[in-house]
Amino acid sequence: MVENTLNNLQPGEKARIVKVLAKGTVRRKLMDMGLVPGSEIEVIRTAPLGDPIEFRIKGYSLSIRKQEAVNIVVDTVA
Amino acid sequence: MKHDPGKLREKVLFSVVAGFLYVLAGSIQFVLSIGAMFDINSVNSLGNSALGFLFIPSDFMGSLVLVLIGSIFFYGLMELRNGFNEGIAYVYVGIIISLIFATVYMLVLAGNWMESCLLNDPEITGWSFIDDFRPAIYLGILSLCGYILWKKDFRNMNK
Amino acid sequence: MCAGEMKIEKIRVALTGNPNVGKTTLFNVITGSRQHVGNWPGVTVEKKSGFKQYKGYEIEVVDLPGTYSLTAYSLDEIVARDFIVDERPDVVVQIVDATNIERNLYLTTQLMELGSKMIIALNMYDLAEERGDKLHVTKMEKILSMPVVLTIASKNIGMSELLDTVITEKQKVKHHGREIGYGDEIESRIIEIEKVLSQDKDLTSRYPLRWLAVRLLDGDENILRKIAGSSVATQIKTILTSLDIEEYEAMMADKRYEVISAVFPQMCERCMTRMTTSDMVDRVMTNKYLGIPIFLALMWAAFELTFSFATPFMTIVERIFVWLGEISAAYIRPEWLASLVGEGIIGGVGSVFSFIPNIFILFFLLSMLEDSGYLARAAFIVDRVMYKIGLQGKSFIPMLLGFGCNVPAIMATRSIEDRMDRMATIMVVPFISCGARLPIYILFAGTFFSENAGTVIFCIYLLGILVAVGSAKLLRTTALKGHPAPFILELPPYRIPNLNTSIRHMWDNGSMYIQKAGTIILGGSVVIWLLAALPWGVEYGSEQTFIGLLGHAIQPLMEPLGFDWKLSVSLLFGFVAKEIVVASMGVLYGVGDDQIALTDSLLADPHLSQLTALSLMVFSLLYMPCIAAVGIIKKETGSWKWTAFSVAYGLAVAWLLAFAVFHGGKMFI
Repeated sequence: MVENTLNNLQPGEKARIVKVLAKGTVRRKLMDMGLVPGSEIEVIRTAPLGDPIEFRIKGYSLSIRKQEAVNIVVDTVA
Repeated sequence: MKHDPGKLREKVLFSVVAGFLYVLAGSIQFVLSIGAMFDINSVNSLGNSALGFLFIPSDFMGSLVLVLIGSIFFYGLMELRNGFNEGIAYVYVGIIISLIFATVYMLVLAGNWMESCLLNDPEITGWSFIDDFRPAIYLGILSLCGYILWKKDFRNMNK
Repeated sequence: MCAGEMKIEKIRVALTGNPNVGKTTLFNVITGSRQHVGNWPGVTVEKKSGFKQYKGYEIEVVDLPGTYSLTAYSLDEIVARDFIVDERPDVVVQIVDATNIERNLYLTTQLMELGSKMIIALNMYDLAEERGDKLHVTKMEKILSMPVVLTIASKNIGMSELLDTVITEKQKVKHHGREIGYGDEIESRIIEIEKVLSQDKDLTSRYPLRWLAVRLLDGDENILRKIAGSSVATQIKTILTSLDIEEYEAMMADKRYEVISAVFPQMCERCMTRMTTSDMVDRVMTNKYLGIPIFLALMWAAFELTFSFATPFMTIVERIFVWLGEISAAYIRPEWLASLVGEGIIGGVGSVFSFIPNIFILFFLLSMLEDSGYLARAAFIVDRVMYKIGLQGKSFIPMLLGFGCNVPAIMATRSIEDRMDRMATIMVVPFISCGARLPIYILFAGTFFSENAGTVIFCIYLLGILVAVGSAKLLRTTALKGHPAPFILELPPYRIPNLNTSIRHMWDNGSMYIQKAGTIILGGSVVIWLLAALPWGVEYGSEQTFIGLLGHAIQPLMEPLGFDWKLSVSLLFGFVAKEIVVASMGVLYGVGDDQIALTDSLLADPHLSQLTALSLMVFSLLYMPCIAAVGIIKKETGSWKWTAFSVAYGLAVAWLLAFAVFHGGKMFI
């Protein structure tokens, strides 16, 4: 198991979510959108200006800023 | 992702031609708009006489749009050359955006035409079809051909 | 048929679903023109309902706000679930995007707990099948134990099947809903809390107890407040404080997704993620180098259509009102009444209607942009910049709407969950130049900068954006200190927009504007006419009238900006609505609604110059929101303090910048 945070992944890389460190409403919203431990997530691209990042999760595209992605711990071993 | 090499070649050729024409028309329009902005007589007369048959207006924003459309085609070309089949998507988007702008300018033309003949507005008399006819419209015909030809291919680009 | 004997049975249906699943289109297709748009009681969320006569039933369809979940994260979610729990609709229809079933089912798991009869409308199934998905509807019905109907709302397919199913469900005596099992540990807690709750008769009769228990374990503060007054409140509190609620919250969300991923493969074969046409298009639209230019170009296209394309239509509308004015002048007697009708009423209404074309086109285009999926990309592309100035990607949409009309723009800030972000956006939207200000620019730029009118107007728009940006930054370092809230946004697949939906959207917003115009602006026009006609005996619109006196009273304040009393008066009446500035100038120069005559009078006025025109345009751009906008600011911020701040701040900025333009410009000339 190689732990990393979501913001450090490169476009095209896949990982499995281990833990969501965010608190309160942010945490709830992230979970509602499918960012729960065990979910597979793939980095699609960063926005033209470098932030936010687009991910693919549960079969749809979701964008999150880097500063939120820092709080999502992932396991990068496919 | 497999593409019929013949069809791919068609699109490459299309991108070269469309990209070149849009960038060319856009560059001329850019120069003409600069000429109009700073009142450079030699440039203005060039637009009116030598290049008159191209119906290029001196519209600055419009020139940037033309160059952008050309760039999209060229960018796709670059991706296709590097072996990315996703480059097809650039041809598609380039066509769609050029069609959007052709529609926009045709609507503006239609609106002005309607105004001039329905109202006989003294402000607008002297308006003629030529005033609003521009490269973004007639180059759109090229894109329309591409669109009709490859409509199916684009809907299933991923296959 | 004898109408008296037939008793029409009524069925109430609630439509729910995630955003971007075609809910609005389905609602429009079913209810057609029999719609009613209002507000949910007590909150500022829009409520849409409509009726459909079908097979002897009167079916009322209530369109609930689109949400991803019902966990009370936003006002929309609370409104949606409160309606289902409190109003008890006969049937709840969840519209599920057939191309994105897995994420959509998350909402289903929560809806099931509300204890209503449910139907799934599996929408856009053609798109799913086209890309090779195999949908097993019967299996899906069995697993979820609720009917599943295949629909394509945009092509009007599956609608009667859906309505038939609604009727069958309504007639069923009991429904056997399935609920999520959360595993031994949580289930034992649920039972424990349920037992305590059941001691309270009032709660038992009003809510499904299991749902209450689940929500409480999920840390739902809204539900906590709901039970606060009940007899069991303290007991519940003791149980909850002994638990690590955050841990439970995660476990429950986890469990719901676990259940979904266990059953999902049985419902849909080959529904895996793969590169789609939409993804390929997105590669171009959000390309590192081309993304921003394409974004700017599309915004420019929208701008050209809204303004250049609309001009001929505006001219036509103006002509009609000039004609009406002439008729009233010719046939109405006595003369003062003809003047009131012709100049006060027809003139005022005419100036409003003359830019109806702008508003209609703008809302049409915005709807197209949203339906196509590009609006979300626009937020994705500009978020970095918006974040830098203290706002967020979603603030961009209201600001873009602001170019049409500030009122719907301020209403659109509701999609921003965070209160601080929302407040900051509301405060800066009024600086975005709305359509109502355009007639002022067209008049003055057209009159004084004929050749370069377009460039001048564009610069004014740009100035508005710059002031908005500066103000956002200022607010974020002072009154609304702090960083914008997190940006968690779905990027829906690109789709070909639905023409009917766009036309509907255009019509709804356009007519809302007409209603607003019809009352406030008509009233304003009549007031101007009265002020310009009274006291009796003086010449209409002259310096001796009330309006002239008022203009002279505020004159010392406006003098440094280069405005004479006529301009001051007109601006004063721009408080009522900005479009009245032009109308009142028409009245003051005694030319009514005749634009050409007004242009000539302005050119002939020795007080006016290019600099005055510029200064006036800058002032009109910034000086304060119109009365309708002020009203909506009060409503949306819920605070008179913020409303007053918005007005005062706008006035100060406008005065300073107009001053700078007028005196700075003098130095160059």
